[in-house]
Amino acid sequence: MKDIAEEFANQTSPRALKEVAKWRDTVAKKDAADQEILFASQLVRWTILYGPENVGGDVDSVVVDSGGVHWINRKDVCKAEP
Amino acid sequence: MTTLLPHLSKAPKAAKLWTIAAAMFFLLEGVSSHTDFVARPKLLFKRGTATVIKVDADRVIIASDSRVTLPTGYRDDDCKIFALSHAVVFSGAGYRNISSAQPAGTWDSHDIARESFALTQSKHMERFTIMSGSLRRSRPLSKSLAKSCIHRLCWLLA
Repeated sequence: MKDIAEEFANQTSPRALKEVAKWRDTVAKKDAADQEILFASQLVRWTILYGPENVGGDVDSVVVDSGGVHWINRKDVCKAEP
Repeated sequence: MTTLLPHLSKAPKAAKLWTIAAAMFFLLEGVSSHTDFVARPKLLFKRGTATVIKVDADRVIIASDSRVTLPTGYRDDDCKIFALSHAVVFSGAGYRNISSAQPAGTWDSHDIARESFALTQSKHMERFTIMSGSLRRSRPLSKSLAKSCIHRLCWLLA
């Protein structure tokens, strides 16, 4: 799984170059800070897509900064948790 | 397009930050790319995780999948990231939950995290460095961490 994340983060394969280029189009209008957040989620999605079967499902993501915890994506089932 | 996303273009230094963040996580948490169940009857092990962590000076970004692998299949409803407070989040990988029929019992990394964090909020907070049970199960203490524990009266969960 780590290999896949590295592959797409560093774009070391034709499929990574292709996927990242396609993904860039979808986030072109967002600022750099938001793109970084979305890229973290996208790395997990690529790992799900190209990785072993023991990873999958929706991707939850969160940002922690001086203002506290900010959920970017969170499954409904998880919102019941504290 | 490249100028809009310079860290993903031809800037190898910036790109390596992602690599390092991902690699650090997997090394620390001991995630494997396969599922291995310990061959003990009446024990259920749930595992399998992909999490990416990006750390910079201003913030931490965490993203994780939702799959829990079971001996009988999988479920995609696990909450691998959850908030312990308005400023602290927990994300786990590796063994998420172990349940046993005989003897009856359950070990859950999220429960351990919650209990550990609750202890840090007690009046003893300054005296103890709380370490989660999942960390203890994943790997032995490093020398530096062990030394820190000695000086700070580190308390390990049973």
